[in-house]
Amino acid sequence: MKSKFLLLVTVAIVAMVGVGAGLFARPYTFHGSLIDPPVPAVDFTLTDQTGQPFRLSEQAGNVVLLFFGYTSCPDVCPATLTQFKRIRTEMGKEADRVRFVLVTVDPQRDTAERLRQYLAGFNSSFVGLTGTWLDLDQVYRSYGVYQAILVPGPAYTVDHTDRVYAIDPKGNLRLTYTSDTTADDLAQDVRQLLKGK
Amino acid sequence: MIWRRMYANCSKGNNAGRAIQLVHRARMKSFINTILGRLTLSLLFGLTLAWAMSEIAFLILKDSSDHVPQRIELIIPAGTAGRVAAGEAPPSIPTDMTFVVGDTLVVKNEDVVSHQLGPVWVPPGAAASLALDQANRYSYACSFQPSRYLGLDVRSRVTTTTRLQALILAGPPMAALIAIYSIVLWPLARRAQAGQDAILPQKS
Repeated sequence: MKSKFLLLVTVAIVAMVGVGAGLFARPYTFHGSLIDPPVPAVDFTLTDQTGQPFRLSEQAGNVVLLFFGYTSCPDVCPATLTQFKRIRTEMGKEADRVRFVLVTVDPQRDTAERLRQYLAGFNSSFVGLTGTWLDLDQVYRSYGVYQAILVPGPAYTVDHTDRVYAIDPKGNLRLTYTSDTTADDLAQDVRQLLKGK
Repeated sequence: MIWRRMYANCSKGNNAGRAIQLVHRARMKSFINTILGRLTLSLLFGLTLAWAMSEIAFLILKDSSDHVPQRIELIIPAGTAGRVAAGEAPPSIPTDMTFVVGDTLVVKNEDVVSHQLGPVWVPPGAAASLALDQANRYSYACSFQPSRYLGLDVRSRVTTTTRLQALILAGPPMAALIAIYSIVLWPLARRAQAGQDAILPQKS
């Protein structure tokens, strides 16, 4: 009799907690700027650090984190790639379904070999893309990327957009992030995208 | 301990000692009740006073931008990029915008090129939103402001939680001060003495 009563009380508590959680659960709020409704990410084909063609539309089923930078960048690019590295570590096995992509804004210096060496310092699974000026310019325009050589000379720096773009497994452009977004926030959002949210 | 020993000595087969023991117990009980009553009253006064003071402070310092979280929509009209390129006036968006934590900034881009408004980048013909969940002052690039920069001020909102925090922080110290002040004004000893006088048997 006593055990039945305890069982009933336990069931009632579990039911109440369940109903409460259902009532008060809030929908997930993304940390980045959410493109709603999502728009199909403009497709492109560039050359990766191994010299192989990389086509964005072939990455369906994975989340793509797209960043525009260059290997001689003194500040924001290494900082962003370090963030990517943290996200990869934080996500563990789930990160196998995330493509971390760097598109160069300095095709003059960023050859495939240079990109390979540079990215190996962060994570060899990161993808570095370069191409002809014409191809790259098309990509810059599609993604609203600004790039300009600041001070011409042998060791010039490039002023460029530091936004990170998140493309969901369906190939839709879903979110953009400013460079001050934390790796933790980005990883949380990427997990949601992988869940199909 | 000393009192207990005295009681013990007195109570050894001694009725008078037992009577004194009872009297002291009654005095102690009366004393504790007085202290508890004083503390409860002090706490009530302290919390009420802290609440009143914080409400007055909130009213005096209330920010005009404080509001219930809402969706704030901005529209970038068609042809904006062309007008900016031609040196014409861009859409009228305030240079500095003030929000509260919980607001959602929604930007609709009706132009044929992508635009950036602070942290929000919007592809052509699309809309993008950003949940402003942290109080801070931001300065971002803006693709159509003459200065090319946009200031965003996200402020904390005065919520029930804020009010409760103020009450929790200010109430107990205020209650402690009131309790101490009340002891200075109305010392407990007099009451205890009064209690004793009432309980002790009168000498004939």
